[in-house]
Amino acid sequence: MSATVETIEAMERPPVTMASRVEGELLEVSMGPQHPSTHGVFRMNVALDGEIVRKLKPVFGYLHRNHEKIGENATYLSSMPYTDRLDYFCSMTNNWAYAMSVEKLAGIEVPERAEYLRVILAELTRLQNHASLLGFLLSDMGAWGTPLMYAFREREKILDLFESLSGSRMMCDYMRFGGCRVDASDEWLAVAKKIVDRFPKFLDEFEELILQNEIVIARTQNVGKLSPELAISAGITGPMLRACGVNYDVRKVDGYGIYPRFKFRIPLGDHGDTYDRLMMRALEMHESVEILKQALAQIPPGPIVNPKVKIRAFRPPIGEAYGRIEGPKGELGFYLISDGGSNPYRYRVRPPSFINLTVLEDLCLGHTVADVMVILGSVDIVMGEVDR
Amino acid sequence: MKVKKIVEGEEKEVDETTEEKIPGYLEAVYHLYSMSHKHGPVIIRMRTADRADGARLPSLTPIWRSAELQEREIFDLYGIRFDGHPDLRRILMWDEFEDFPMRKDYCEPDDYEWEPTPHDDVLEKAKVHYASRPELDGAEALRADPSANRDQ
Repeated sequence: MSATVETIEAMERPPVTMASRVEGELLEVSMGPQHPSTHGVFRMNVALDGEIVRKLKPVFGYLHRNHEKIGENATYLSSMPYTDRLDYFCSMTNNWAYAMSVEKLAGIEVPERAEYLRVILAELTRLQNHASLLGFLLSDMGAWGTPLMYAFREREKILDLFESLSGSRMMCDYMRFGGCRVDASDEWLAVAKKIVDRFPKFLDEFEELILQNEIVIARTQNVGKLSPELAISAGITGPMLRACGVNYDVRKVDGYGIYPRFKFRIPLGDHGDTYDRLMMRALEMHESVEILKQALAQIPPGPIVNPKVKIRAFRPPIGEAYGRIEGPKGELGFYLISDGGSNPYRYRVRPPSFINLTVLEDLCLGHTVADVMVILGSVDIVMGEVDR
Repeated sequence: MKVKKIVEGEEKEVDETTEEKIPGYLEAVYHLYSMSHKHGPVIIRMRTADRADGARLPSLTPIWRSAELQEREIFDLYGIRFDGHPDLRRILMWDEFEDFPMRKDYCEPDDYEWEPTPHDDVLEKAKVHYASRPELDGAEALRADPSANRDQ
């Protein structure tokens, strides 16, 4: 027996060290990767002074599968289902961003009805993403379960819509280059209209229960403040940027798709703290409902896919394109380089939740460990997109 | 090309091919959007000198924090070293990983969990232990130890 032990020693295995150790005054703690509040497998190495965070280094890569390499080795169309797996909460917006950059690359026109369907599905995605984010954020704060179930009740209705249209609740794979895969029936549109009309009732109920709650206010106001200058320098996008008061929404700036036809406002925050980020989601849902009402009333009949687009042997001309949309988490972009072949030469995703994590350390410094979870929750990350 | 050369004692004109290696490069493309002017993109392209030691570019992180994680990712997957980056480490792959998987000439290993079996000096050290071990099988151990078969 002793011989075996010495043989192992002879192989010079590195000594086992403890994950946390006291170094001077600071205590190093590894938070995650298995933690209910890290939204997947995400780890943070935190140096603590008592309970105050003095240093924080995020550790990525537990869910890394080199999505971009897979995209380079697959044809343009076969990457479409893979984009669902990036941010698995918002497969519709991922599909749209990818379809849009391929359409830019190949110069494909999209029929009117398909544009309307895309707007409707993207805004429904925004509704369910923001609703479940609010639920998750409240569970991070200790309101475990109940608010999340309120949010999931609404999310479930929208996922049912997705399922009846595309056949899948979360991995929709719905968009195609130059249009959409299946047409929405009149019944589907009627059900969607009903759900959209009822959605403000849920929002009012939720806001009344949660957003004026004293504990929520105490836990979120003045926690994790982000200055507009840092937000712009760090490339923060989406609700997190607008919570700092910077008016930048790709829907308005680029006016992609048919967004210029709709009347909607961009909610802006004042302080850039966690409460503003939370409010931003609630207010954006009101605006999404407005867009949905207009789109569902205006949707014209017609074809849903451009018949000129080749499905087999699809080879876009040599060139490059960057298509971006305002996803629920921020600016989601796909950068494609074509060498004229059937696969993209370079396939790059601009993941909003990955880049929004750049400032995580700046947000958390000086706050307690319990606040780290709330701040991370308000950044709104999905590890499928962060690690790719 | 045709060159004059002395072959087997006499001067002949022969075809000679000279090999000239042009170093490859890696190109980094930056899309810059202005948030205040709502204008963009301004596209910057930067090429490295070669694909080995010269795969270096100046870092944009001191100007825009936005580049911090993205440059780490490029370093991780493509192996471009960014001079001036405050914290250039691998980000998505594990720290012990050696190759750059997004390069076009990257070869996948046959087995990701391959670990060298004990060899050379490790085996030399192990021999000492094997030599000192008594050459006994199970039955001999039973016979040598009277307490083991006390029950019989």
